[in-house]
Amino acid sequence: MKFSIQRDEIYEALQKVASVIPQRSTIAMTQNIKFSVADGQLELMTTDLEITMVSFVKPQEVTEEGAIALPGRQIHDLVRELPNILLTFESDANHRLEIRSDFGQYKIGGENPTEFPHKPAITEVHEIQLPNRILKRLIEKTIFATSTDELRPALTGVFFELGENSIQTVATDGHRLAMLGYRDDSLPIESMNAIISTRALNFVLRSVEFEGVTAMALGNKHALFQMDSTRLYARLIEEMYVDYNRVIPNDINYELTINNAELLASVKRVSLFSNPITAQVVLHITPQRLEIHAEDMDYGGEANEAIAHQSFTGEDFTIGFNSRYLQTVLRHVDSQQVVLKLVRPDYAVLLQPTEMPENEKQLMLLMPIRLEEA
Amino acid sequence: MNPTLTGTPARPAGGWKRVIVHVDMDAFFAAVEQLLRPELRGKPVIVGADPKGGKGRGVVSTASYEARVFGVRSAIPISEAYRLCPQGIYIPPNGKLYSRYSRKVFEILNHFSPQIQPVSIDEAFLDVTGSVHLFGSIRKLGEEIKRRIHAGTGLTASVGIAPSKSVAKIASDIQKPAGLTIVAPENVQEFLDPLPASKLWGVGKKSMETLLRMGIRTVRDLREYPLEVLEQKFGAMGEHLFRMARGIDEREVREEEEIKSVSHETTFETDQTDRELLLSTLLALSEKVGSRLRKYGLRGKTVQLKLRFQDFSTFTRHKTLSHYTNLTDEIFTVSKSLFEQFDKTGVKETDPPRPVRLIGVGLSQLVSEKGMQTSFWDLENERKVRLEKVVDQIQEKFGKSIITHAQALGARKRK
Repeated sequence: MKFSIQRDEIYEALQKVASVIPQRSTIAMTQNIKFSVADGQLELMTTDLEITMVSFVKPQEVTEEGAIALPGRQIHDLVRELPNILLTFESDANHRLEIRSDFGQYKIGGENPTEFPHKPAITEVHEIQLPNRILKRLIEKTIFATSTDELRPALTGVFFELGENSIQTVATDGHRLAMLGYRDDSLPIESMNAIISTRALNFVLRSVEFEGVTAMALGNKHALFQMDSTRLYARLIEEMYVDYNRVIPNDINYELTINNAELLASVKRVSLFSNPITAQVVLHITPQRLEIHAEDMDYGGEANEAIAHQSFTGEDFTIGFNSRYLQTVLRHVDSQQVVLKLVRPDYAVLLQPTEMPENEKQLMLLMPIRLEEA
Repeated sequence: MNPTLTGTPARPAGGWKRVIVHVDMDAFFAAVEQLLRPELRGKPVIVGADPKGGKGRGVVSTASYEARVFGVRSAIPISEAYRLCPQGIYIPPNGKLYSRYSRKVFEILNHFSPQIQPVSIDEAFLDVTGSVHLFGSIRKLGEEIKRRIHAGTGLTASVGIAPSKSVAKIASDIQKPAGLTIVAPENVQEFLDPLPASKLWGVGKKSMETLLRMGIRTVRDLREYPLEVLEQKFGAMGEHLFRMARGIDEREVREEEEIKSVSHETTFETDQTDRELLLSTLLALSEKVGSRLRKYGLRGKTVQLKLRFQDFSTFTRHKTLSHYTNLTDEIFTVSKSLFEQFDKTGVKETDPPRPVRLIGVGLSQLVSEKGMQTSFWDLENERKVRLEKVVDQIQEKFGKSIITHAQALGARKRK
């Protein structure tokens, strides 16, 4: 294998793939980056066995095709420290690599590339094309609500649901739930779903450009995201997702419409006075206004605010929330006004934006803090 | 709190290494009732679940001092109280009301030390080693606690002050009601010696029987026995007795130690091997644990199973859930799986089942439902909770025998 490439070109690709290299692993090979040169393209690949990341870059000149597995961090760190000059990579039959630059040369012991784990084979594929902007929103508007509880592995990922010309993402940790739906006639009709880990989706968010289109292939055991110059294979979380439709309230008793930014700002201020452990804020809603209250019994702090709302259908209503959860949920509502649909002080609250981009549907649920003994 | 940080005298005068206060409200539930209903003052008031004209199956929670004259004590069956004191005024407990007064008391105690350990709704330990100098003397501090509780709530408390928790607790009980007993370090032995050994922390009915058989009545009698003999007779408990008899107790006043766990256990009259019966008992115990937690508005995270076999070997196994529960169903499912796992470990198919002498279920890592972040699982469980609460209420009203899970029924029939 022999090729020459500008430092900036290869460094961008190295940065993308290096972040997948696991801190430690029982399989030593995963500490490497696999370099393969073919058809005038350089392919860099890393894997932690859950996620496989592949990045493509075009060298300035390819002298000899071939492949090698190289210690990932070492090569990344070396290239990082080099200025933007032309670098020549050349490997020999004993899997040793020499990098030459104007500064000098560096020799690195590599490994046989055939021993590097293979790319996952995607079987029973459903492929869809999504504008990057939409893909980003589908992930960003839900991923914050995923769980870290390893006892419920299904909830540690985002649930992708396809069907009837639509795609919908859902995430929940049991305390809050976030859902975003997108409808487009180009999307397939048949239904299909998959749970993708938050770790994989964070890599997708980092790799996907704002413009353009991503092809997403959902297979039996893996999902594949094909972005501009990057491909990401993610092992699916093979679990049943929870039947979240059962907790979406149907019989709404009260409806509050309020300016989202004003509510968020008020909650932020008041929550500075809440107990740091429970982070509890109490919302008292009257037909005239919304009162927000927090106190910290242990240190004697207390805060009260009252803000105007757009409308409230119903009588006085009091409900408590973890202010951190409430803030995150509100922050993910894009419209100027937010609607809170209330059932009971101890029931899930439904939050929705008043206006949405065309073809999109957003819904969030938040469970309250119990204020009274049951 | 580290008093040396303030630069003021770090330790109280005399041989006091620590100053521990035990505060015990006098006939708490009955006193609250008498406070709010003046017509009850000076009368024998008996607070207990389920009085039902003396035919109830509950027990006495608290008896006023007027009722204690007739021999009515807490924890005796209501029916017996009725026999002893038919003229008594029997009142079902009003938990919410008592909690409100309890909170007031604890607010007052907060002024004396940040280091408070609530023992129950009407009882607490305080470590005042670092704050006693602010009150002038130990006696003044004790008097101030009593005065402020009375001024703030209208109720009386008895206070014991000693260098250790166990001695402070005994001291608060010596002059009830409204007593103040201070046991200085140099007087601890003199104070303990004449007391019946049953006063010591950890000496229950069973161990007292053994002590009596050994001819030990008082703490002084107990102190004559060397450590080795006590260890022979009582095992690990022997050293504990040895230390208690000398007032040696280094346990700290721990703030978080509120109610740490709720558990129930049953000792069988004859050792049991019948798996069905053991499981039914487990369910009945889970139901007791669950209903107690629901009553107090608590939930727990760690389920514990306790087993004692014929040879007195005792084992505990526990499992921590990812969420908090107080559902009978869930407690039973987990304790059953613990039981079944235990049953299998190291046992061959052909081995005869080991006769079980005692079985117990407990839940720990408790949190209050109030102020708790709810989850979607709560909505799923809502119907179950509502059902179990109804069962709790009916049982409270008509006695435990009315409603039971089908499997618990099995346990009862065969007993």
